[in-house]
Amino acid sequence: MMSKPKLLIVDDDEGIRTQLKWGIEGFDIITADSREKAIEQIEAHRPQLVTLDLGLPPDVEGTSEGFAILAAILEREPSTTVVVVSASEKDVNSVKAVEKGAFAFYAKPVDIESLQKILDSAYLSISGE
Amino acid sequence: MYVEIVSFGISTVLFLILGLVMLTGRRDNLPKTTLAVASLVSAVWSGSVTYQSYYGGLLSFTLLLELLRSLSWFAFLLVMLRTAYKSTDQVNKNFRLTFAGLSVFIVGLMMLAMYRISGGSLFEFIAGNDVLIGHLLISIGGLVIIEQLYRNTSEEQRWGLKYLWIAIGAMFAYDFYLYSDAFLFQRIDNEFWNARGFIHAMVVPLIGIAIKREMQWSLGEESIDIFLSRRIVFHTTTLLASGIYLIFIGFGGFYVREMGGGWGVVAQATFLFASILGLVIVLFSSKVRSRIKVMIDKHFFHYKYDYREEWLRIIRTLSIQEGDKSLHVRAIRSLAQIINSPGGLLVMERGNGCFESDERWNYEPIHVREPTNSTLNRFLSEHQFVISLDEYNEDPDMYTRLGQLDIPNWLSSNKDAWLVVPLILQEHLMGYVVLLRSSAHERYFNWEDSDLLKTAGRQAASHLSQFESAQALVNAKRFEEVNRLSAFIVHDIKNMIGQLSMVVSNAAKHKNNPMFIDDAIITVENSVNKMNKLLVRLRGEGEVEKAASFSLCELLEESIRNCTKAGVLPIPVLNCRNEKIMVMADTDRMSVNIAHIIQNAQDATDDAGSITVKLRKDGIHAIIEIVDTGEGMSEKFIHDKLFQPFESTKGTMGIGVFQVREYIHKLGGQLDVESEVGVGSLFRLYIPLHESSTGLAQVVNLNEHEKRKHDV
Repeated sequence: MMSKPKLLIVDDDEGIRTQLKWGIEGFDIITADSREKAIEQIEAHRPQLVTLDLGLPPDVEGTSEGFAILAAILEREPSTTVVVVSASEKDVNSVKAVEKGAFAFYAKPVDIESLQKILDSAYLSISGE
Repeated sequence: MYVEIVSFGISTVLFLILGLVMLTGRRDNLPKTTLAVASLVSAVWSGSVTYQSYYGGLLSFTLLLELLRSLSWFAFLLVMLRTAYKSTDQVNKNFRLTFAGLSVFIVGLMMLAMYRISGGSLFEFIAGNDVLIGHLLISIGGLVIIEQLYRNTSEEQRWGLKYLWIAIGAMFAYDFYLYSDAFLFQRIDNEFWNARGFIHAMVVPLIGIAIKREMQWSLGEESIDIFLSRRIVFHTTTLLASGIYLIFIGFGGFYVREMGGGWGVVAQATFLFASILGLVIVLFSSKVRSRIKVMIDKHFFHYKYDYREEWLRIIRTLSIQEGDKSLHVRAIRSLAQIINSPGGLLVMERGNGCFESDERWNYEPIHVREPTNSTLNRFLSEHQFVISLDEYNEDPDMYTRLGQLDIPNWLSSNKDAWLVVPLILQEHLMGYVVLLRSSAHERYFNWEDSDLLKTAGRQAASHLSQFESAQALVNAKRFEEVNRLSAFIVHDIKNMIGQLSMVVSNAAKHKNNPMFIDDAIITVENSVNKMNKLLVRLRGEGEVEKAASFSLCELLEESIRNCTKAGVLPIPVLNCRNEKIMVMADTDRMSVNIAHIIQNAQDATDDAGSITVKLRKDGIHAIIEIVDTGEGMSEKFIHDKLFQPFESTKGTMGIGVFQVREYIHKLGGQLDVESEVGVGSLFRLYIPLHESSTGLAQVVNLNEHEKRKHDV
């Protein structure tokens, strides 16, 4: 039996992390709530997929920390597929996220079914199945 | 002898003052120089007479000095005569011939006088007929030149120069009288001689007035700069008038007492008290003071205004907050006080295509709405004139020949409305002030008032515009705050919706799983906490912090650990000299802010570079220095962008350094930055120590830092 692909959920909101773990299917889910933790998990588990919230401490109301994590992940594991999830409504952030190497940008509030479809298609595109 | 000493002593002092005043300022002015010489020679002569009458001797010297004095006054008159005749070659030639002839004559007299010096009293000596005749001729010559000067002075200049001619003429006339008498009686009258010093002293103030009145009398180019403050003239005039009034009252009181019989003393006391009360009332009447001021401006000064004082007063009125008076009221007052107007109305441009009444000061309540394209607004905008409604009513053509102008009803119906002063900002009409009639200035409004009001209007417009910009900025900041709060609310609500909707959708699959129920409860609890935090923030209580005293060294160790957990390079090196450096702040926020600067340094520095974090104590501050060997920043970037929110080199939102500085300032500290492109950067944070608590000391210390550090 093939092992499930690994998905890293990076979000400072514990409730989001917990419910995504229950709701997203087909992935072996690991979580992180900060840059350090995310990089730790990347280096330890090398997940194929990452969902990344942009508003993380210390810049909870901005996006600087989220983009810094995106850069750090892709620097270490360039093949990682990152889906950026953000409450930001600014188009500029979605464009920037893709420019910086994200696979897709998903605007909060999170709808499990939609996110599941995005993650499935992301995994399909990298696994070639 | 005593009278003579006093008489000539006063004359000496006054001529000396006049001479010295004339020597001030620029000297390349012939009339001014000759007047200075004449005054100083007169002072020396008067001084020698004073000395001679007290100590004796110096007789021959005094005699020679008197002739020299005559020569110097002649020189001055001839220079003025040349000016009056206009300067042509022929006149110059005549001038030189006349002056040479008179000089020969006077020098001849001096030689004769020296020849005849043989002791005896001064009067007997001067009484020698030939010398007497010489003095008489000098006096007559002087009077003739003055008569010529008066006739050749233009009407415009005569007003200013007449006191000069009267003053010098009086000197020569008295000399003529003195020496005529001496010629007739063969001796100089002692009393007349003694009075001569007083007479000469009396003419000095007249010369001073002439100089002040007619600045251009000295060849029309350079003026003699004697400063006579309007305030001094005002007070002197008031004092003089009061003095004269009191003398009359004194006489009146005496008369009342003499004629009052049994009631005499009572009547006198009542009369005096009533009179003094009347005087006090008059002196405190602003109307009377205004009239005196106008009278002085009209009769004593070339220009109506002391521009320096007016300008200072305008700026003072506009700048200094008086009670609860708004800037708009002060703008009206600053213009009104120039022409003693008792009130005014400010009309400002609005964004609705109209000019509307804004503020009023002693003006009847009125709502004005004047369309921007009305003839009044267009006239003021295009011509930027001060409109005198009196002038307009008397002769509308004066204005309408420049462009169409109809005075609107709200303005023409107010019979007290007098002037409309435009407020021009960068050639744009931003409003105008309607001023009420000033009784003191009635029928006394000319180009000077108009120019000053127009210029003051520009100044007021500038202040009003600055005020409105500041208001707009405050509003913009409020909007920005609301926007930030809205963004925060939207962010949190989205998260809560996401959490709860996921609980609902997950429940469909996992509701029978006890572990899911546990997690669902935790998620709901998390949402409730978020909602509570949101409420706190919406109530404006979000900024409440958990301030606590903590060791900065420990906090730095923790921050560095956090920044290197994920293997980010380079690893900062901590250098704490004193581990017991305590500060009072919110530990979490402080940690986040320091971590932010360290992360910035890591982002800017190659893995092989270095970052050093130093902590030390300096007076009442803890100083944290974060030094990196990264790419550095240019002076321009530091100045223009580093502390601007939403500016970043990293393509991010870039509010971090801005927030750090705001937080450090909030703690009473300071953030300095030094950087060089290609070399690295230094962020220096001053944070007040917990044990020091005097705000004043902090400010002083920070000011010292300001002087020696580059604070951005």
